[in-house]
Amino acid sequence: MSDPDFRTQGEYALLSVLPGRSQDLARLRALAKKGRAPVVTVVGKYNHGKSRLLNELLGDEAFEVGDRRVTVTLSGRMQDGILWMDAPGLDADVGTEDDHHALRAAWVESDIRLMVHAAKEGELDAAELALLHELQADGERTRRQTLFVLSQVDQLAGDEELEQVRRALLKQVPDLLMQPVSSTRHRKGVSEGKRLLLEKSGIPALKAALGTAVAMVPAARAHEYALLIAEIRSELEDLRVAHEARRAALAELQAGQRAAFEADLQALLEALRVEMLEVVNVPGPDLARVADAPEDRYKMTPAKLERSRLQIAYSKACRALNACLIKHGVVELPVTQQTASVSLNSVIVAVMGISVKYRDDLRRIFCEEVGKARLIREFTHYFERSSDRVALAESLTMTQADLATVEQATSALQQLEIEG
Amino acid sequence: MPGSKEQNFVRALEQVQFLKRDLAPVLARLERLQASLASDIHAWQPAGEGLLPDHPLAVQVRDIQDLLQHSTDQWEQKWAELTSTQALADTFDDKVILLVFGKFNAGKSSFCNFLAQRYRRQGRSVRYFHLNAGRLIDSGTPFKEGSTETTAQLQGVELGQNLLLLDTPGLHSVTPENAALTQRYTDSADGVLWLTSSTSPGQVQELDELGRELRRNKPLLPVVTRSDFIDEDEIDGEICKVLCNKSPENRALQEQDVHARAEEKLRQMEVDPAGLRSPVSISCHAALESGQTHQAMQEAGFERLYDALLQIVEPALHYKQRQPAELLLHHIEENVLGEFFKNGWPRLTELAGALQAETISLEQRRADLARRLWREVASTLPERMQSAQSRGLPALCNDVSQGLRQAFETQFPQVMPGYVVGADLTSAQIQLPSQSMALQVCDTVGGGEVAMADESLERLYEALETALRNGLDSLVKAAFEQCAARVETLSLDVQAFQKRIQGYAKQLQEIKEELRP
Repeated sequence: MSDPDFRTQGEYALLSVLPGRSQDLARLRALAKKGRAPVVTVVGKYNHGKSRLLNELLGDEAFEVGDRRVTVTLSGRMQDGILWMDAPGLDADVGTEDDHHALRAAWVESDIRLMVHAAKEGELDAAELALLHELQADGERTRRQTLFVLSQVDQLAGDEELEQVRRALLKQVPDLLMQPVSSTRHRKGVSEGKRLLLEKSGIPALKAALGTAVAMVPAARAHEYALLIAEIRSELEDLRVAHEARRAALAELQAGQRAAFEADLQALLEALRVEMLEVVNVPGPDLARVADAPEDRYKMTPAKLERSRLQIAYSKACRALNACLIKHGVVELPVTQQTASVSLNSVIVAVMGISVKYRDDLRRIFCEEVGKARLIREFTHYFERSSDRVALAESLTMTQADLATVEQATSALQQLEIEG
Repeated sequence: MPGSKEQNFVRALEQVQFLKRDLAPVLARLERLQASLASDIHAWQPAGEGLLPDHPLAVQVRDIQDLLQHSTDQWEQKWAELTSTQALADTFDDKVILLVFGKFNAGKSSFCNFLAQRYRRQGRSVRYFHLNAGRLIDSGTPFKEGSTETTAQLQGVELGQNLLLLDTPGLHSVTPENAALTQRYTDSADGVLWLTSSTSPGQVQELDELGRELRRNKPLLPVVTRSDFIDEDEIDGEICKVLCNKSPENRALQEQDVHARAEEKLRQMEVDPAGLRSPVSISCHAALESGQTHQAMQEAGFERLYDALLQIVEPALHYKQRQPAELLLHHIEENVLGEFFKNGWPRLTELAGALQAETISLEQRRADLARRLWREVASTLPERMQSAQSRGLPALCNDVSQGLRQAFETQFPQVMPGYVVGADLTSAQIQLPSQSMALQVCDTVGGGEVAMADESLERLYEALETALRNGLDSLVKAAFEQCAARVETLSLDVQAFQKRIQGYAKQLQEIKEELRP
């Protein structure tokens, strides 16, 4: 018997993406064990004679019995090539932490369930009915079998009362196959050699039914193993598709923003190229390069005029570029409003430099392909470092990490399948 | 047989005094509490201005108001339902009423029939009745018995002059129209016998259905029924059956187990376990089979049962004395405050949480709005400068201001859906930072034909950018201060309301402690 809370590394990989499959994974591990004996578990309300029934099936006193609740943990015993297990009582009750744990273990380990119900209690109560329905539904899905055992039939007044109880149960669960048994009759029949008691104990019939059920265990296990693997695989695939869709959406958004920025920048640079050509394509030498004489200090000279003309055009271009950067979030609103406003902010300064620009400079920067290409390259570099873009890239990375986790889980599942 | 516990019990019950207790002061206090709570609920009109009706917070507030209002509207009706019990309790105000509770296979009918039979043997009267179309009808015959039969209607049996056993169908198994009625009759019980079959005794989850009774501090006696077994043997090819009592040791084990589990369960249900009595195991079947001799009765557990019954008579009578006050207390505890704490309180807590989350999100959204406005308007500054060159500075300022206002009008509803801000904000106007700057720039721009100096243009751009930042900042700040103030007011409103409600719960607790022993 293994601890359902123990996990292999592959199971952790799978659980991290499919936390709801915890029980199925534990079941898969149980199914994968080589040469594992069929497991028969008794379940039902406490005091309905589960342990006593096991003792009769095994022919000794392997399981503790008592007329009050005794079984709180799962106990098991190997005999006749079968692992027999006694689950704690099914009671939606107080102080059942242990019960719950053991019940879960019983669920994971079992191949065949014997659901025990005391005949004297008449019909099933809500908890029993829910359990039986759960077992039946599980049987449909996994082909694990459940035998319904009507226990302690010796405690009924006679066959007529037994018939009444049967009818009541059939009304609750149509087509229910019942195995009426009496452990007490069997014990007495065996120890005192009383044939009628032995026969009426129902234990021989139950043993025969169990034999048939046990013979079907290997096929059922193969079916269940394949079923669980297929279910988990399909769930992983759904998950992968969902992550992939999100990744694709983010990538599209990322590409779209980039394209919009580049288109705006291209259009602007083209406009600036045309404007700058007009500015720099004037006849004659670049007067701006003529140094001012000391006596020209307070005079307007042609050199000064030319320098002013070039500077105005250049500043205008920088402002236009800055506007484009603002629009696309490259130049953010400063957090505190009080910082001195530097109109041409650091991105423009970093890309354009602070030196005085002459005609040749402007031509090189704005009118030649190499200059334009450099501007696009460098502004795009800062674009990608803006906070919005960085956040978007991070989301994308996270989605890719999610995808990778799913892929890891998928290969962990493949590994499990190979090992199984 | 003189001196048996059974006779003791029967005689003791006949001598019981049904005393009255003056409950007027406590009833008045309870009524005042309820009235005051009702007016508080009615007066709770949290200020929802500044939020559009479809804002999630406004919707949440309105839903809670509706819920609370609806709940207060129900108080009257629920009280009327409860007080109809009073009619039954009044009819039986000289009787101890015990509710016989248990699952369908606990043997309730056999138990009642057996006790009735014993009463008859003692020469006392027995009257069976059942509930039909809202009226109690004499049945004339004992209850039907059987392990698969379920009781579908409320039935009862009057034993002698002073004892009444009420056998209830499981509350889940009655038809809806019968359920409310059944509940009302069970309400009138002064004590509870919880029958649990020895086959699987102490399924304490059944007590969940009894929460209502137990919270009123009615005494609870668990009875382990069907504490017998059939011993079989095969003699000459035939199976012979002998019915036997379970052994005293076996019974003691089961009783201890049931006691411990019931106690744990009551704690879990937050019910004072003081009302829980020690369980008693019996077998009606075994007593009947062995001819009901004194010894048979003793061995089947009935002497102990009568003793235990006698012991719950006193607390049951005590309950009976304070019953009208318990009824109103219960009404306030369950239908008034209980309902509030169950439905209204979580919603208020949820609202308080939502308001807190909203306050936190406001900061972030404020930054988001500022960023959007900045991107939208600052990116147009060079263009606006260009087109306003010939129209002068005031025109340029107006133009940028208008751009900012338009941007605010489109972006604010996107960032802050459901919020309304004052009309004063929509007239935001940007101001150039200083007079001198304004004049200087003004001159330059006004100069018109003279080519503007680069320095001046740069200064103008800087000035505009700074003015835009300042205008944008104060606009966003003012808008969010209004929004935050709205959230804060609502939040304080909710807190104050919750505090008042807690005050009522405390008051009720005090009254309860004074009323109960």
